[in-house]
Amino acid sequence: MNDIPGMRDRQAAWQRARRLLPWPVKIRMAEMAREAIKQLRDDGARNMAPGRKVTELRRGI
Amino acid sequence: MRDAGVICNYALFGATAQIRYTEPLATLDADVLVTLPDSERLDILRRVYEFCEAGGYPIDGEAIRVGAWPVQFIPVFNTLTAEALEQAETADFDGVPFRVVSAAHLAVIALSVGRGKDYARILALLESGAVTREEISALASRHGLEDAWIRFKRRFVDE
Repeated sequence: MNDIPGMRDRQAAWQRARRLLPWPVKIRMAEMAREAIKQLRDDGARNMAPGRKVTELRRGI
Repeated sequence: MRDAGVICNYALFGATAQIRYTEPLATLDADVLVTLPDSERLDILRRVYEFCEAGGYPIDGEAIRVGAWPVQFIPVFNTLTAEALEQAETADFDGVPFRVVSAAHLAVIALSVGRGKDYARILALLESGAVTREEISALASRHGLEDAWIRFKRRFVDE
């Protein structure tokens, strides 16, 4: 027996509670998410650049 | 911009407006509906761009960069968006009054556009309780979108 259903319910309640936050707070959360997405996209674009070898990616070049 | 006569009126719509009513969600830009003094011009947004640039807000493609946000100004394009702007609510953003399209108009604009993310917006607005099915139905009917609403409801709400 584990608490996964309980965790799931708490997570859903937490997500629902975010809806009630003040609008400026939610906009700032969206701003943070926006930056994170931009970073991921930029990293993805760099890693998927043509001509890069898998070994280079693995070495983080 | 209103005081300078560059725009007649404005209201925030799209995802940044949705966030007022629902959980926060990731979005890349902010959309602002506007009415303009001279809507017959071909370069309809030229004065908006010039005004913003003169005020230190650079042009970024079709948007104006305001802080971290690319802001897109979109002139009202049909009776639905004109009404949405006209009947927008005034919200408080850190002490600054800001006109925001109502949840019902956001939902029906989304219905009229009809992409996957627009349908997700309608569902999020319904789930948040910001708008009811009856309000969407009435507004959709008034703007000739009754069939679109029935199809949406059958597909995403009734089942």
